[in-house]
Amino acid sequence: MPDNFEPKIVGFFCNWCTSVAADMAGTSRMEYPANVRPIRVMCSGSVDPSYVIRALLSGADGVIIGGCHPGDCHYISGNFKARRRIAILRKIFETLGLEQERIYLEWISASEGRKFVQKITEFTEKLRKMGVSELSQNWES
Amino acid sequence: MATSDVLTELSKKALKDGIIGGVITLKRTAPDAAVHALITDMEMLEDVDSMIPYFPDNCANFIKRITKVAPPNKPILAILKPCEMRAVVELVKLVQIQNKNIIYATFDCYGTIARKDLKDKEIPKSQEFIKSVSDGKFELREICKSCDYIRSETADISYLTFEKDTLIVAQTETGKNFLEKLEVQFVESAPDKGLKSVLDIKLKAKTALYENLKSECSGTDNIFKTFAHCINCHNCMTNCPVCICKECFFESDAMDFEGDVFLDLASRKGGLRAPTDVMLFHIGRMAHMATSCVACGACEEACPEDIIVGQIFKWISENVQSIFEYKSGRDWEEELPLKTFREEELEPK
Repeated sequence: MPDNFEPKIVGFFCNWCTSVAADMAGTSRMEYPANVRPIRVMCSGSVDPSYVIRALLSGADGVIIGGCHPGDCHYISGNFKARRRIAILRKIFETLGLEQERIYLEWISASEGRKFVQKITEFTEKLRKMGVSELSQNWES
Repeated sequence: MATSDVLTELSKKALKDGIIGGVITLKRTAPDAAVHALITDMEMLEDVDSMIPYFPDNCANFIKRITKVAPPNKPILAILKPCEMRAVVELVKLVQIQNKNIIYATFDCYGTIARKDLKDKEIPKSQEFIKSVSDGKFELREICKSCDYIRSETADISYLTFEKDTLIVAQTETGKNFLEKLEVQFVESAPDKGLKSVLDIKLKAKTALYENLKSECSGTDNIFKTFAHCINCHNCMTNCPVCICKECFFESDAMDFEGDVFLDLASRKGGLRAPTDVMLFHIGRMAHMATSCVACGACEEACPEDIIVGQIFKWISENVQSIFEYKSGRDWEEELPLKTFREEELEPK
């Protein structure tokens, strides 16, 4: 692993909370690692597990999904469904002996710019330590 | 009388008395082949052995087809293996089978023989098979060897073999009504006798299978090796009873890109495998249907490359279902894990 390894992170951020939190972090001039490539989705519940798998197979070292706190979903129960789907996906990864730690689900509300920065930093640090994802490197995917 | 003969005789009687309009059963088409058939003519039932150890496809698919536009007005008796019954339950929950006027009958299943192992041989008669299956005379499908669902509790009627006798169990009101009309003797709860010792063997085999899969198929390299021969034909998906989407995500436009994107994908790793998206398809399919997988192994039978996809999916789905203490097709009432949620559960760590 090269010393200057910088993980690539794909972020699926809910339009109503985490995306706003990211904006807030920006307008408040808070700094966070530039490793994350944010994708705005309408709800964490709209993130199909296959998007996460595709990201991890196509070169991402980690995927973070940001949704509203339980009970706060704009669509009432999207985040609860996301939580089940991600739990299923992580179980599949665990069983197959893949690194489920590379899939991250976090509740970050629109007002939590600071939490957004903290979580992105935390996840980036963790992935830096984990190194390059084997899954992302295999050309046969 | 052997259980398979009892099944055939009762089917004939029910047809003759006009209690049912037809019977769905396995019927031989060649010495080494059989299909599911909807039979209305008593004479065509003459040589039928519903319990032959053969798995052409999951019969739940056929029942789905029959009830798709509208369920029949006259009852159909469907003779199914327990794994097929599990698939029926899942499909009813997934609103794919209109559960009306189908009477489900199952039997204790001792397993089936892989189609490729039967090529140019003869499918053994069920009686002969059951007699010597415990001696290891027949090589079962891997997924059957380790199947711990040999008796269905959701079917209307269960036909059980005890030594030389057949015990008929009515498990639902529908089953009871049917058997009363037929005027045959039946009981209302199944004794455990004999089941536990078979289950113990199966559970041991299952533990061994999972151990083996864990050492042979887990980890990035091993997974790619396992699916190395995949030609992405999607046979596993089309034959899967619980893969029900009309348009599959993995066959949709979401898989199509401009040439430049393919070039970009290739240049990221130096090359791009064709057919593309094999791993995405398999892991993605697991994520989509593992909560409903009934471990029937239809996928593995359909695989032209002999990939052990059925064993892998059985292993994955059992683990996935355990998160929700769910077992697909075990119960009519249990909610599908993806259709519901609890407010407090599975908090991400």
